[in-house]
Amino acid sequence: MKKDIQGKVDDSKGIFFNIQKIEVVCFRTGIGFVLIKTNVEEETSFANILNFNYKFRDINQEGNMLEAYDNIRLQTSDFADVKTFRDLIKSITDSNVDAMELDINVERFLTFSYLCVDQEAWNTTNEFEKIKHHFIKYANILPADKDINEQSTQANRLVTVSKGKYAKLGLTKQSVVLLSSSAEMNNYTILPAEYENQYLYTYILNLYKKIYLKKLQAEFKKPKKVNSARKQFANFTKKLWVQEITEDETGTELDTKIKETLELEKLYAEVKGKYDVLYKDMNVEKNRKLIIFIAIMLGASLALNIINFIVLMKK
Amino acid sequence: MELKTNYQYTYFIHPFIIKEGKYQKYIQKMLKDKNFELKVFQREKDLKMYQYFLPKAREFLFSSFGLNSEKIKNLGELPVETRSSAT
Repeated sequence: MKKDIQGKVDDSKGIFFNIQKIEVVCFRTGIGFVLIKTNVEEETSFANILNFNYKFRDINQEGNMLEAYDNIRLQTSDFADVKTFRDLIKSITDSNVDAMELDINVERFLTFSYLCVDQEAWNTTNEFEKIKHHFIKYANILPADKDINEQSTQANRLVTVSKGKYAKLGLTKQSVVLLSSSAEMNNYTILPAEYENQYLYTYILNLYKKIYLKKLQAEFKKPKKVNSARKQFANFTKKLWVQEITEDETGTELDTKIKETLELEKLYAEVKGKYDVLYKDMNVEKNRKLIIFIAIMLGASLALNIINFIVLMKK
Repeated sequence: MELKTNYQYTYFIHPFIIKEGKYQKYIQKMLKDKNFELKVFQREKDLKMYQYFLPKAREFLFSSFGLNSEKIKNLGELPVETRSSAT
């Protein structure tokens, strides 16, 4: 869906934004993602972009009325207000009941953001360390006025990946961001496209793995679905989990660190633990049935022998 | 120091679950909606994506990479119900 829907956040400062497109990514297993691409119009203030990201990601929260929502307004006939926008998202995603069952936060959007700052702020003389606190806020989707230092929890938990000299990715459980500097031409020509294609789908694939594992975990708890979940898990392990996804160096590092941030290994180990127990139980059950079968056969054979013996004796 | 930005965009991502057994119907609904169009990944058009992902991940994420131009053309001409099974 391409609309270039205009919107406005915060009346007093008048930050305008566009919804450039809405994409829906669906997997055959029933897991889907709505991707809403936004951009703050003609905006050069870093603080406004921080505030926009901070506010917009909670726009889907039930009970967030337009008036109460920091004056965010979507200003076209397509979306009269925030509620209309929420209704559109709801019409795409249908009911959230199944997602909530898997403990997926349906009220807060995950954030995948790209930002190239002017080279005045980050160049050979002004090094990254000078703007690091901005990066920490950006990666943690914090508002501009949030006081933060480099020893804070948000800073310590932040996982980073460097892409060249003037681009840095930051990962948290709810976001992946890339901060770059225009000191390198690539950062406003080639990298933005690479980031919203190759890296975005690297992120989507890992989000998919997380949700799919949660789905299997839930199915292992339902006796009727155990058998199919067992097969699905074996298939998932073989076809997706053990596979490398790219040979691109940054892509490989990003993939590894997303896995780490989303704690996928831990989740996989939990599901595998359940799978192993079920597999063992099934084998025990299979063996038990086999032993019973053999015992019955032996019993029957013994009975036949006795009968034969009696018949022979009578003769 | 107030930072000035040069270029930016943000994707907001909302995961969701399609009800069990309703995937086909859901895809049909989306294909019938005129506001949406099916995105078909093609090797020539999306070469960087094609080169970035290894074959198995590519096959899992973008099965349309495996279709030749004739099949892609035919896909567009199929009725919605048939097209939804192929996607």
